[in-house]
Amino acid sequence: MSVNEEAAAQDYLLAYLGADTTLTSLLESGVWLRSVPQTARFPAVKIDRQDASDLMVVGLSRVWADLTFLVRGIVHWTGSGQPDWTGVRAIGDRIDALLHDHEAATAELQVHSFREETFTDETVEGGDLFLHCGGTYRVRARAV
Amino acid sequence: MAKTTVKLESRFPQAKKGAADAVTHAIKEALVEGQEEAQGRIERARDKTGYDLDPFVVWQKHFKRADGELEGGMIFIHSDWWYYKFFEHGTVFIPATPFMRPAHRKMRDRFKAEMGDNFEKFVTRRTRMSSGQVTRR
Repeated sequence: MSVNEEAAAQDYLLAYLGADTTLTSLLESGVWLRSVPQTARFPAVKIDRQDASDLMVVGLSRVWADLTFLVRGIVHWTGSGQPDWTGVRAIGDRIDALLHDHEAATAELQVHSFREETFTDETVEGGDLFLHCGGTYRVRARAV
Repeated sequence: MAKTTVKLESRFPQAKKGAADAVTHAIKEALVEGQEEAQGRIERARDKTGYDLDPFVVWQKHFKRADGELEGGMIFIHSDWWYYKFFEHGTVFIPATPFMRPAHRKMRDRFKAEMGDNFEKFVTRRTRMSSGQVTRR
């Protein structure tokens, strides 16, 4: 097994989420891994790696890489008054529809994923307010 | 017919105390390991990103029963340092550098290892020690 499951799983998530037309219709830029460029337009989806461990059995046979990713939609709120969460909620819901109770096989990986924890947040960056909605997803990836 | 007297001695109270001690020991070990893991990761994040992060914001809290016995614990960051969550989860422009989630995994693994591998040995040793069969060195 020469595939690095974590890197392959990241690629899988980027490709899988990026290929969903319902999700991309809600976004202005796309799906980003680890950080979003300053020039990116919003709404966007961001994936952050949270943790990783391997499940091994007798003979150091690796069953799967047990990975957690924080996957969230981000909306740049430019209005006034109470922020409107409608747009970012729709993105969070679509992410969940795609990743919770999900199984797939590619040429290099078998994966399954489910949500372990929901996530919402507000951040002020560069004086701008951003709304976040998504979840922490456990992704178990096995090299094939 | 001759009477035979058999003296029965129960070590159950010692075994019960030994088991409680083993759990307490496992909780303490897990908390130390989790705290060290979180602190180490914050230190590495500080060195890597240049943000002024203090590893010693991760504290331990022990939960005790009314009789003073330890029954649980946690590691946490005081609300004065609430903004560390932005490093744990990342923000729009800052990549996540998690420290609490990996620390939680380490704690869980350590607790399970302590209970699985050491529990019986710990209880046996404590039981013998209490009944005077072995002496503590």
